[in-house]
Amino acid sequence: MAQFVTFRLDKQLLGIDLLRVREVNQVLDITPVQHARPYILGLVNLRGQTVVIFDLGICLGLKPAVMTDESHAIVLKDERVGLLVDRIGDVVQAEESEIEFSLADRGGMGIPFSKGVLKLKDDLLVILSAKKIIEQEVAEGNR
Amino acid sequence: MHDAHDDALITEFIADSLEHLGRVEPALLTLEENGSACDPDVVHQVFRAVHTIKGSSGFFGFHAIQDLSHAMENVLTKIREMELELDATQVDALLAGVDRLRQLLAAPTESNGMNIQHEIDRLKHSSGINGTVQETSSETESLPPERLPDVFPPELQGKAILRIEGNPPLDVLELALDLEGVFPWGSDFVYAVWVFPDKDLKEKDRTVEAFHGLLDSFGKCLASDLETTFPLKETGHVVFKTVLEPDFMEDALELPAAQIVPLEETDIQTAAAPAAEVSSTKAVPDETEAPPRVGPDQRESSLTQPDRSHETIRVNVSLLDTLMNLAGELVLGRNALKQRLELKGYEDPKLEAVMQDVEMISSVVKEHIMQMRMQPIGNILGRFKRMVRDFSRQVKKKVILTVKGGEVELDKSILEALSDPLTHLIRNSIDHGIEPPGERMALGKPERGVIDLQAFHEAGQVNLEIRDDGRGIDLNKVVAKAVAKGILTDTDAAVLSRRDQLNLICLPGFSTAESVTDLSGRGVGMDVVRNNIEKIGGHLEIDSVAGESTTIRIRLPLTLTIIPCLMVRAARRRFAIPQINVAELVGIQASEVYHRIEKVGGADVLRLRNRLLPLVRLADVLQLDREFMHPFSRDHISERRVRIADRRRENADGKGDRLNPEDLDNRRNRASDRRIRRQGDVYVVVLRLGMHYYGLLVDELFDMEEVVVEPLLHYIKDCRCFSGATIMGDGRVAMILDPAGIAEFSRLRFKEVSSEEDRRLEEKKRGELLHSAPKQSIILFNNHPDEYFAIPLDRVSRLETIAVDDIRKIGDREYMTLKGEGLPLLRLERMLPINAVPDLTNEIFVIIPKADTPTGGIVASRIVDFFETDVAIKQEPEMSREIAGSAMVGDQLTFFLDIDEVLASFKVLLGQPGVEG
Repeated sequence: MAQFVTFRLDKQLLGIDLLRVREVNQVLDITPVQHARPYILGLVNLRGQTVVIFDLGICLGLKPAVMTDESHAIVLKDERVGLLVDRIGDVVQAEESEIEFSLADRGGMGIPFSKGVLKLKDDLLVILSAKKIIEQEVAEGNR
Repeated sequence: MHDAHDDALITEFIADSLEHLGRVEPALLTLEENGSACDPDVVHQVFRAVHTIKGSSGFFGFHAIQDLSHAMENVLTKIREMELELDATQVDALLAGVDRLRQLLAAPTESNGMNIQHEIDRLKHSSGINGTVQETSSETESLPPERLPDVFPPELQGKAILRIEGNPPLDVLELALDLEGVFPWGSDFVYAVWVFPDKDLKEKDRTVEAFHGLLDSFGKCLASDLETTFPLKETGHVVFKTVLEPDFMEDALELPAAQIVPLEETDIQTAAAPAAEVSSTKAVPDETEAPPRVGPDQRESSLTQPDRSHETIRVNVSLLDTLMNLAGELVLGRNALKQRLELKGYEDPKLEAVMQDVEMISSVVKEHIMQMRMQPIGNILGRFKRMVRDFSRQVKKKVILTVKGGEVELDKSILEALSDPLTHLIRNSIDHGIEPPGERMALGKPERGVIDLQAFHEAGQVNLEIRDDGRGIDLNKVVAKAVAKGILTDTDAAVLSRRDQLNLICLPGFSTAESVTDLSGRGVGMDVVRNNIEKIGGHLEIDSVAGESTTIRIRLPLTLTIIPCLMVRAARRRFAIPQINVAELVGIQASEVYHRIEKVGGADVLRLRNRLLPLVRLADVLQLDREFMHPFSRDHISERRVRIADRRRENADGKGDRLNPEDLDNRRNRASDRRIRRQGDVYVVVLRLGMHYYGLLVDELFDMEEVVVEPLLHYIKDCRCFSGATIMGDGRVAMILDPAGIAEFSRLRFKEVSSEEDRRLEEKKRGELLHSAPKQSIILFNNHPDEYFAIPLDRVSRLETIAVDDIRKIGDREYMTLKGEGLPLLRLERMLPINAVPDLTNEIFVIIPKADTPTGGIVASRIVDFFETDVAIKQEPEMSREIAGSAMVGDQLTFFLDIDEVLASFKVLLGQPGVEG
């Protein structure tokens, strides 16, 4: 039985393993970090610690995030990173067997970093690998 | 049966033993270096350490550890009794024993099952011992007498050599002591003091004389080897007698307690009686057969006075880490509290005083907590000696490592992060830098290569220099390799600066090594090293002289966490600049901006006193002006992002009482608008970068604040302009600027600017020689109010004032009555193309020059001032003869009059015969 935090980015429904998520937060005041990579929106203060906010849209090659009242950041457990998304959805439960895992890099719907897809009642949930996203960005940095 | 109590004891035992081994290792290396002229004290020290491990392990039943230590002990006994010459074989065997012991200690409960036969055989072989392992009954073994009999001659004459071994990183103190000064002892205390020139004197701005003076004020200095000439290099030692108790010594001398060791009479007496077997070694703790201690280290001697000055307690590192975090939170909380109080105004006047108290106390607490985490860098440097020895033998080269500045302290986490990079750099040096002995000899170099490791403080940072006297870096080869790899084109390569060429080495995948050896040469090296250094907030630089040496310079911050910073504003963003880098603050009024800011070599420069400062506009570097104003909320937003808070306000939810950062900012800015700050005023923060200075142009200056530093997360490490981030009192994040990064980013051309500076200085000097205008006193006056004239004061006889109505006119000449006679009045506009005194003036001044006969008086509308000036007068040949020249006096263009010419012309005007001069 797995649980996923779901969210929307550019109308696409996506999800991340709940176990990888520390919290979901509305980020109000992002301090930009000049000359950083394009997907880095900046830093925020999360209870006395700085956390980097990624524009998940740019990471995935989708449209850049537009900050609205609905925008939230999904803060990861093991990294000081928050992924900014357009809109937060529900927590979705599913059995492992229901998920169509894909090993290819660009799994469901041609979205990078995806682990697999889950069919919901009226929608298709693409499950992302947070680990892969982080690894990729770290690797890119070392280039 | 192991219960919790046992576990604690075992943990203690392991920690103790590892500590012993940590001292044994460098001691063995030292012994090896000194050859068979064995240092008996060091041998004894090693022996006792091993002996202690043996004894304690026996208590726990860790037989393998016990047996192995016993085997090592046997070898050491032979060495100590001079039955054995110490050479590489023994040292190798002993070091192998140390390594194995470490392994055993890593899992003591399983250690009895581990095989130690190999090491034991090796040890036996190296010392020629045959036979089985001896009985491990430690009780029957006797140690050389530690103490001399209790009866001493009460007074001793003459001199003695006092020798004290300090706990690392303190070295051995060896001083000649005049015994007459020591006795009678009375109720005084005698201390052995270690003084590090960098840390204890230079950093605290103390001279050696001042320090001795300090000692003299508290007691009597019995012996000292502190150098009295600069620069101080060696650690200084002092023996010092005083009535002060150990508790006070730390404060009195302003030295850490660890550096002040109380001595006993026995120590001195032992030194005076050289026949004694044992010299006073204070460093090694008691090695009783009793169970390992839990609690403060005991001293080997029976103390008559409680000596708490360097008592230590072992503390769990995680406890320290927690404390550190709490200290950070404390500072955050305090800053936030302070800010809210300031916002509301201090309603209760006593609140301000309380706040100040809290502020001070929390600062002190923070400092002390940080102090706890500081460790001397020698702790990790020591292990490199062994590594160099082992590795160089492996690659069949001769290399020695010298270490200086081991006492320099760094935060624990920085030390830990340094270990790997340093390891790699040193291996690199041995592998690629130092040549094989044959090659070195052929080149005329000493057969043994040297890697010199130095740590020192400079400009508020810790510097590490690793210098080898090997091949150096062949820059041509490097560039060729880069071109071959496709990193550069030929054209790029041609214009590379030397610095850029050196930096090529730090590119990933780069290595000019011919072959791949163990760690180095695989090309994964330098970029990772630099990366790791930068991750902890440091900088790495390479330099080299081909064929001679390679030097790596690393600069590190002292601590990661809390530093004082100057807060500044550029565009609408706030930034923090570490106070350490701030040399000066300059405010320039809008009107002066044009005047003081020039261009040198295409870059902006500020004239500051005699210097030319390269200027960088912070908003430009960070491209901040890309933010524009939102038409409704009047907030600055970056191109594609809108701050949520703006929208929130528009929706007018009125949710909650949360302090809206917007309000805070608006309130602040409205306040500052009310201040008289003219549009166009700029502020320049003069930053210091090693030897160079440059100015950072910002829009506003705020206070100095203590900020909690959050190191740059590695996703944003590309941003060279920042060295970290901080959370301000209002909860928002501000970036901390990195002056070095900004300078690099803006490619500040220090060299060009300083050349220009020199050039101007030269010119000025030459100029001064040409028209060396000595200082003269002048009187500055107006004819027409906007035109300024000057006459040397020594040519002026007197000054008069006269009402315009009292001027007598005869024809077109004017006269005033002076001492009953008529004095002609001279209007300058009649001989010079200048403007007249305005008609409406009621009163005028008359300047009467000295002359043989009173010729006339010069009319002036206003006497401005009297000056003493040495300004050089610029000749104005196109102007009339009456004008000697012009110059800037104060801010005004002033015409200097040639009095003689003026008077001559006047006479002509009056129709008098002129005197040709």
